[in-house]
Amino acid sequence: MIDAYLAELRLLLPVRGRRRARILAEVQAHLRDDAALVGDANAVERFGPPRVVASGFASQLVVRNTRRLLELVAALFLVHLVLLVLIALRPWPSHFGAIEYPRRKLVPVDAMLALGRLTPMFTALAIAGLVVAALAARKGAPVRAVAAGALGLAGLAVLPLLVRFGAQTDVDVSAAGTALRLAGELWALAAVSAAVWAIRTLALSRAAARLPG
Amino acid sequence: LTLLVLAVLAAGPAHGYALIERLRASSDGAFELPEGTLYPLLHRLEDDGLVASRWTQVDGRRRREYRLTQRGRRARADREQAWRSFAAGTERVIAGPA
Repeated sequence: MIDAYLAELRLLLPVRGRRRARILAEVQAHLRDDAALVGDANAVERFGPPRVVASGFASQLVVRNTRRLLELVAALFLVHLVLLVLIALRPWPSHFGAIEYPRRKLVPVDAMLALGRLTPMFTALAIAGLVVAALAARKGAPVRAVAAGALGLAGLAVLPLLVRFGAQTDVDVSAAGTALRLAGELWALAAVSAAVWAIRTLALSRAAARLPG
Repeated sequence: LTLLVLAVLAAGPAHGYALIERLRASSDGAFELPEGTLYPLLHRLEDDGLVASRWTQVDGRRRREYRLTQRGRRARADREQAWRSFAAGTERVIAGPA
């Protein structure tokens, strides 16, 4: 009976991997302890229906993911602003010269410039995401608001990449210029990861809504 | 429920099952929780940094043991104070004017 209970809970939990394994191991240990005193059927009954237990975990995970995503979006936004200011001001001595990135040979300059012309599209995506986030927040949907904000930020993430591509035609090879480009790339990668995380959080939120509270 | 769990853990580390037993015993059976609701709460408290956990071996079986962190102790004290204040105020209202 306990095995059947765990199998059902396993199917209902909206998480995978180590977290699911940990939850199942804890529940199993609890049920075995209780079953030793009151029997399998009573232990399972006292623990509660699998759907209710899964719902409790789903709600807890949605709150956790949303909060972390919110922190990440706030941090990324601040870094983004700092990067934009640094790119605009370049408060260090510039040394322009030939780029030695291997990628310059892989990506033709024409292609970089073509990508650069797509900048308005990414900006539109970013603004759309942030508008959706603001609307969702007004309707009291924090998960959707944070997720849309993260997606919008991912749109903005492409901008530093394009700046970097654009810079390849007029390259600042100073240490600061190189560090800035590297920071921009890392930032873009983090923002895209945030977007993926946002999509996963939305999926988790939908799964949690399908379970009884 | 959060305050109850923090208060029970203040007595010492415990795994989920022992925690429920302690809660049941110290409340003279007043709190008969649906036991499955405890674990999502413990995971949330861990995410919030109020408790920490680790796997242990008890009688040859693996169990996840929870303990209060420093932050958890402070949260417990704050919540206890808030609860006492709330309970005292409620008591005065119920008792009516002197």
